[in-house]
Amino acid sequence: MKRFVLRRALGLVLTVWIVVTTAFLMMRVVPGGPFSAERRLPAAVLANVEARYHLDWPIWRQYLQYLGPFNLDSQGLLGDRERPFGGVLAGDLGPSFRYRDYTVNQILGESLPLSLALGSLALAWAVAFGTTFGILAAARRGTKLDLSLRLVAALGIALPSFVIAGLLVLVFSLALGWSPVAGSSTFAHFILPSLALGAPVAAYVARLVRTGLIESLSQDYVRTAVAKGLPYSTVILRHAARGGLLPAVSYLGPAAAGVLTGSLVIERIFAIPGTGSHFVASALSRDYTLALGVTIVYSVLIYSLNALVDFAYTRLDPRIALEEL
Amino acid sequence: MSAEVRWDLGGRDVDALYAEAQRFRGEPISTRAWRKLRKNRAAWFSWIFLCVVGLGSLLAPLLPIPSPKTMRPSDKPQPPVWPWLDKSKQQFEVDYWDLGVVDGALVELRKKLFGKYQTGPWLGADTQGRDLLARIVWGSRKSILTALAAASISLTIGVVWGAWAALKGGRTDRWMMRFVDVLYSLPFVFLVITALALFDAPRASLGEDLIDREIVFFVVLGAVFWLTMARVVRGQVLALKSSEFVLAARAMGAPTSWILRRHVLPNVLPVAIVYLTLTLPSVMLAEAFLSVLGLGVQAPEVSFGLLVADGVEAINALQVRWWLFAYPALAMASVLLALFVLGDGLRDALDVRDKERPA
Repeated sequence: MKRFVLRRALGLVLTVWIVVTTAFLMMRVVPGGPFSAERRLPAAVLANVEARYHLDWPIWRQYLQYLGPFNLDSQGLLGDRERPFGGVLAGDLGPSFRYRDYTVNQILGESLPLSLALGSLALAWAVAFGTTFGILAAARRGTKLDLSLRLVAALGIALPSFVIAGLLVLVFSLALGWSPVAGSSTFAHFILPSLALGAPVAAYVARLVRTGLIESLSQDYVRTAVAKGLPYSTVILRHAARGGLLPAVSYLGPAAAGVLTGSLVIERIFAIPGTGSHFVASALSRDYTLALGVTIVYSVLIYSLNALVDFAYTRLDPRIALEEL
Repeated sequence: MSAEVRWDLGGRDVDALYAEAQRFRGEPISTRAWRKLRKNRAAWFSWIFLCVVGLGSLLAPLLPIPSPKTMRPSDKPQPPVWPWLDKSKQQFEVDYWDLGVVDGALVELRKKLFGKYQTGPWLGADTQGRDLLARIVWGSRKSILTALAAASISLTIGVVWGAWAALKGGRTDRWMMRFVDVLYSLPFVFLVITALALFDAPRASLGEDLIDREIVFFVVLGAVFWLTMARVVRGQVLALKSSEFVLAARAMGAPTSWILRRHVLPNVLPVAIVYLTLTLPSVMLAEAFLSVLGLGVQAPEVSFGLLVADGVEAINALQVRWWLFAYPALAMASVLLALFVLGDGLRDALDVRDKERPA
């Protein structure tokens, strides 16, 4: 247990460091700063602005300042005495280049709850629909129900989420008028986006559950359960499901990553001011700090979720020891 | 190997034994896979469908369709017309973006073959009056070529990396695969978007030819998708390394390069091709995803992603132009579905799996 936590913590730090360094270097190597595209600023103003964001510093110093945990803001090498800490390692993602009056932390604080709500709702749909349909298909293997469910799952995997989003809007918002087209003010606004976002994941989960369940249905202990006269539903839900759901559980880590990625497009289509739409806008307008900040936060999220899923996996499957992961 | 006597075979006739052995031919892994694939109806159908689509889109300049770029502005968007009700008599005009030599020659050939004839708005036209059928055909071409290019890059990197790690073994293997593990845990889409956005900016300010955006696009996508390929290839090469026929070849004194060429490569390639088939739809999805965000293929060229993005935009409460969404989505979905089914079928036929990572 201790070793697992330690290794994952180390891995997390390593991942974040690689992300920060790669992204930071990529952004600094390419010519043209965030202020060069706009209408030309007077030289004195430009110098002032660049000084405010430390763009006049040498790259290594900008990098150290950004990485933290020490604040190099004042002239001395030892840094500022009033705010001795700063940078990513101290949890400070710096000021945004575009939204001049906001820090990246503030923007994330406003947008992340929306994205997390959307993402967790999508995952909830995906797990609920995916497991239900997967179990149904496995239990009725070879029937028309199984075939049609498999076809739907194949479509769900082949259709990108923004196509599904278009379909949902066409049917439920425009044809039937049941749901708002876009926005984020009420819960109803989140239903269609989260369904579209969760659909590909649901399809994957359904496929994994079906395959896993069919495999565990051929196990000896399931045959024993059937032989001792238990009802079929009990056999499936209590005996077979536990082993059969394992592949789906281990998929949840990548699934969460997929949902976060998909939200970049879905948030744009449904005009939800979440972190995803901020990220795309910031990358396009070369808002270095905001783009980097979102990337870092999302890598931490994805990495921790993966670790959590691996942990849950060992609880579900006693054959796998934590130390092996 | 020659049939000279090397071992004591208990006085048996070596030449007869050798002649007998000659009659047994192992079935190559590719032939067996092909046979199994033909039995899988869905996969076989997908294969034929993809061949037709691939041929059609490669020969797009030759088809009697309008140019995907020609605009015919009108107040009302042109809805689809059934071919037998089609009364329009539009004349074909040569109007493309910079086509290469081959495509230019194809367009010339088309002019000779079909003259001024072009198909009517059978699938309707978009908001700027561009023919949707032509745009879908040309879009599929762009998407397929992009996917092939990016997938080949991922194939090359993956095969070299995986095979090298497996052949070297030991510490090299451990470090190379640890590197892959670390890359797996990076949120790649974010880095890709950042990279594309970055390489986009200097073009706007420093002129066209600084860095070709398309090449960046291929390299970036290819660099993302080689990870699974490397793992699979490594697994296969490891298995081959300790397989009996390689041991036998080694025991007979075959040089390493010969073993690599004769035994390892032919057995790795089918596996790599399966993963290539599975990479193609992922790359196409990624291309579409980036195009929707405005970072992929740029107008006036078209791709599935751009078409679907236009289609999603065409769905609004004011004016529902369903065909702009329905037909591109249908085209893209059928190609992707066929690729997935074919990839799955091939994987089953070859019975290989990326065992380390589910899904």
